[in-house]
Amino acid sequence: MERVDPVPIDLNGMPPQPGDLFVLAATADLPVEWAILDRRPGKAAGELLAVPADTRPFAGSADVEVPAELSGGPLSLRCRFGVWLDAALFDPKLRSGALTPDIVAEALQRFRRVESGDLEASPLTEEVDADPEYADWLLEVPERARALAAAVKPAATRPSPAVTWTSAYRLAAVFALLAVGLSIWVALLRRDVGRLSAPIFDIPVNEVVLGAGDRGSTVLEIPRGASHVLLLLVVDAGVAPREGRFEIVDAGGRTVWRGPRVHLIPAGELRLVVPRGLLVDGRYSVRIVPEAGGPAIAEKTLRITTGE
Amino acid sequence: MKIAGISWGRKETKTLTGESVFTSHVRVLAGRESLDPRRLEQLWSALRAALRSELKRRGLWETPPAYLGIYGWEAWEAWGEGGRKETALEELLAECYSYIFVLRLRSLEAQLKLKENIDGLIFLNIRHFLHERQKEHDPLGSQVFQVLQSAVRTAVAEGDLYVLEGDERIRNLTVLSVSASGPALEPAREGLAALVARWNDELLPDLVTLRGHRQEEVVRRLRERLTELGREGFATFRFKDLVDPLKADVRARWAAILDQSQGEAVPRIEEESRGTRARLVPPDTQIEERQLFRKLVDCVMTSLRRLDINEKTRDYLSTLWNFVRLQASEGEEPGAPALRLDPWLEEAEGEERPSLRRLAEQLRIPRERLPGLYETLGDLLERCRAANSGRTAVRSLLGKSRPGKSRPGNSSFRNGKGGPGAH
Repeated sequence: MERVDPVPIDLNGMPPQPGDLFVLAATADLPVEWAILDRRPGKAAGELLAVPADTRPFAGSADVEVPAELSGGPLSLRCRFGVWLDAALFDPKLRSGALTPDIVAEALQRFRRVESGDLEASPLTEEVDADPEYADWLLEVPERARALAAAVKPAATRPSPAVTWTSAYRLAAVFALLAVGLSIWVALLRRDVGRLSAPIFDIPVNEVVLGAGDRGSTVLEIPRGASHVLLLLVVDAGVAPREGRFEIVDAGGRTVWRGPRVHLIPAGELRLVVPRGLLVDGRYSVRIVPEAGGPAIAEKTLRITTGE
Repeated sequence: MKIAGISWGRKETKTLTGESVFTSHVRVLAGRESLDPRRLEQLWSALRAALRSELKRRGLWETPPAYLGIYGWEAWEAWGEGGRKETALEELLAECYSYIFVLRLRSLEAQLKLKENIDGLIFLNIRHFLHERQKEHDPLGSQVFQVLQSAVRTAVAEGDLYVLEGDERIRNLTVLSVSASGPALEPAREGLAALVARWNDELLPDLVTLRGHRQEEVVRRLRERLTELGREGFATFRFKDLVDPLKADVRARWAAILDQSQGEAVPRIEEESRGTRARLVPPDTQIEERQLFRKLVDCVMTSLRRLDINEKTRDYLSTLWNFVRLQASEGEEPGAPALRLDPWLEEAEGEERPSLRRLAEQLRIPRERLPGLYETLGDLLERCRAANSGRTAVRSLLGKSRPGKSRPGNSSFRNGKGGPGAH
């Protein structure tokens, strides 16, 4: 069995970042590490989304398994218990390993699905979910770990050294200019956010099965006035698991949309919400291309039309 | 800190010099230092003792080593001239060492960053190791334990049973009673095993073939049966007194389906008093093979969910698939579990197959449906195997037609669009 590790780099002293594994002093009494999945700006050092991880092989519907042959594995990432923690809690000296980017992406997706309530269990993970021993473990380890970690406050940051009055005036002038520019930008952003935050009711849904052979074009009739289209991209069970990207290309060969790298799972489904403006009436090709390059793994021709 | 009944933060195994053997070994491995043969022997002895103790605690010391994937032995230890011989325990010990100190070394090193002593974590890993092996190699026993444990927990929560002694999460040695002030525990009374075994008349095959959220249904039925204990005068008993005869009876009935010789009869101690068969097959399969097996099982089950067929047929397919999957996991045949699936699904009259009559009786599937169900499962397995091996499946369910052979139903997937075989 060959282990796949990320490119080795010396991380000593580097700040924590997505993909890192850490042990936390706050959860030293529990057999867990913490896998960092995401970052967001926050107080001084920002905040990191971390999920508890342990070496117990049980993997339920909300967990992501890191196989033994991958960096960090074997490990089970308990995505149901993800929590945003102050980055200052992660001591660089307590970094314990690293995960591969595709595992981080998969875990992040799982965490978001747990949050949004649209987690789909595979038959085998459903069996694990039903196991009382598994329920005990979740209660005793990751759930406690989350509570302990979330309760910890990082050490107070030291006050910054005093600045001179001259530099303070300069800084104030710069901030005043920035404030004017920012207020205009914020107003524009608010308008966009308001428009995009409005609920989309009765979004048209279309299923596109990829990998079962392209038997002529499929016609997708989108109701007039629809602002978005939800495409349910289904990977056929005949497609081997591997890294790939979804793409939509128009009749002129122009890439309309290119997705992030994903791990293709046979019979797996991914949802894509596309603004109608990107998919004007016409012929398109939806395809999966291998991450390593080469011809498309699967391709489906679509004809988009406007219905009444 | 107490996890799964073990105080792993404090439990230690010390040498005569007071050193924690397991922690010290992890430090040596982490420092890439050379291994001292004397200290290695100390480690090996400590690990053997811990493993033996855990096997006994779980009631596995009396069961055949095959239930943990160690084949070709009748007992865990054998003594001869000159002391202990090469035994099943030594084989398991080597696997356990690899599970803990090779595969999980990075995680152990991580814990050493925060703690001086991680011996307790090694004990916890021994438990996980045995639990995982049991689930892999004794799926029948594990499933029966799990369903009964859930049923007893529900009965305790609803006040029909009481935990008088032992682990409240319900383990083998937990003492249960039908009343809060139940009488003291006495040796299991005659008749208890027979009563429990009779429950299987109504519970099988669902007890072992209903999985996931559908398992709740059989848990509920078994929980109702538990009320018979008080009525029949069994006031106080250990959980083990219920689970052992239930498992033994399931195994016996399961073996009866297989109407062919699969090995030599081996006398069993305690729960396995009916006698069963030794599994003379090669050593445990590798991690990759087990992963492939799990992927195939999951793929076929996912495809079953998507088949455009009536619910009755889906239930039959699901029951038959879980039967086949259990047989393959049990390791009655040589080879990797994923390969052991094939003999069950190939030719309808294959030598490995049990008689259709027996199967129909035990699984409660109409006999005339079985050939068609086998065929559908064979097709799904083939497509899933192709998907997992990276090659294109050569057949499609929709495109294939076999005149004269019965079909379980219309095998299109989600209106002919998704799932294996879709075009």
